[in-house]
Formats: sequence, C-alpha cells, structure tokens
Amino acid sequence: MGSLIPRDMMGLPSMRNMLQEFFSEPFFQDRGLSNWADEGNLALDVSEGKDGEVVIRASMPGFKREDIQLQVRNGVLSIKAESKEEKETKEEKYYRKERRWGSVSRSVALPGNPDENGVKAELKDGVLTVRLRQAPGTQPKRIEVK
Amino acid sequence: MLFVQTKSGCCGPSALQSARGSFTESEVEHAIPVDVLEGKAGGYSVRASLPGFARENVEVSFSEGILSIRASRRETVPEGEVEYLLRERTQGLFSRRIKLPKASGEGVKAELKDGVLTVTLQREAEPQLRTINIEQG
Repeated sequence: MGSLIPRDMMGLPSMRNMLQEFFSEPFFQDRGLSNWADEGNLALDVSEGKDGEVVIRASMPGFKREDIQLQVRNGVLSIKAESKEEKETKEEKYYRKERRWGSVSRSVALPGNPDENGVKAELKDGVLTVRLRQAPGTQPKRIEVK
Repeated sequence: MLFVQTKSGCCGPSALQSARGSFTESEVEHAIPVDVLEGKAGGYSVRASLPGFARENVEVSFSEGILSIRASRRETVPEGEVEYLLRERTQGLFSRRIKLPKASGEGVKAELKDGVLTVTLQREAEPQLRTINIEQG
C-alpha cells in the first residue's frame, strides 16, 4: 500500500489513523459483492393506505411500461417483466455487467380482500406503484370471545 | 435492521466524511449496481440503477481516473398511507467508485432517466511525447 502512517507523539502509529487509512483505500470503497441495493429478485415495499388500500412499490429501473405484465388473481398480485437488454448485450462491449437483466417475476399475497377490478398501476422514475382498493363490502368481522 | 442517522441528513461529501470520522457513527453505504460499457471512440458509458432517486440526491464526481457516484434515498410512509407491511427496497446511502483508467475528466455527461443514471466519459487524449534538450552544463 505504501501510504505513510501518521505517528502520534509517543512515536507509535496511532491505531485509529491506521484503520482509517486502511479502510479508505480504494479497495474497500470499490465494494465487491456486499450490500447490493435492490438487486436479486424483485424488491417490494407493501403498505396499507386508507380504507385498507394496498400499495405496492417495486424497483424496476430501465424497464418500459410495455415490458411489464401485472396480474391480480385470488388475492395474489403477480409482476412479471422482461428486459430487452438481451439484444443490447450482443452489440455492446461490456467491461462490467452487474445490473439485473433478463426476466424478473414476483408474486405477493395481498392483505384483505382486494378488488380485482380496482387496480391502478403507474411507472415513474423506474418505480412501479400498484394500488388496489378493497372489494366493496369488506368489513372486518368482530369475533366474539366466549 | 439497524439504521444510524448521520448528523447532517442527506448525502454529500460532508455527511459521509463526518460519518467516517468516527467508526461508531458511520452509516452503511449500499453498493449501486453498475454496467460499464465501451463508449464512442474508446470512451466509457456507465449505467447505474437508481430507481426512485431524486436528481438532487445524486452526486457524480470524477477525479484521478475514479468515477464516484453517491446517492441517498430515504422514503417514508407517504401521506395517506398508514403503515408498511413489507419493506424490502433499501433506503439510506448508496455509493460506488469505479476505476476508469483511460477516461478524461473533460466533457463528462450524466443523465438520470427512468431510474437509470447514465454517465458518459471520453477517452483521454494520448499524451504528447516531448523530447527534452540537454543543456550544456
């Protein structure tokens, strides 16, 4: 590494400085495979809104609307997307390729009783947001404890 | 998951440097996945996945052959939404440093669109060979 280690007054290298030098070396900055953000299988955030509306957000950078297929069936939301990057790969020369390519899919069970006809989806800035409202007449049932 | 907030909020060199100053307070930086391709005329094209990031929270810099990308995303429960049932999309600080040995710092362009950051760099001009005259001593 060849970097000079600062010495404190006692003439001994300060441990703290040594560790800071060590960890700020480009090797540690250029993270290999740890802490990947959002890659792997489709990462989802599921939240609940007013009146039990279910909101699902999925990170889908670089996907176009027409690449994505959504389906709601039996209380399960399925997201499938096909990346068109396969074609690009053959023509371009890559030095490094880490971003997800190919097809991705994920199914998630939806809480409550979602209305299959009340689904809205929007793709913006690489984030797919799906909103489902609950089927009319869905009320939580009170259970009597005897 | 444990998140430790840095003192100065969002991303930017000051926030991250103060984080590194003390090991007990540093926040985890997630890696940004990148594709590095050969660009026009031997330059580079770097694509990074940054879905849902606002332009003002993304910082791109280039120095001594290393391209640095730093970004911050801290989504909270939006208005009208009650709670999260499932939370998998990582929040917090993201960064990546990429060595691009023959890249020039001139004319670097960056664009953020549809959740993809594209940075284009040109190739450094070949250094001119200069012959040096030896002076009569």
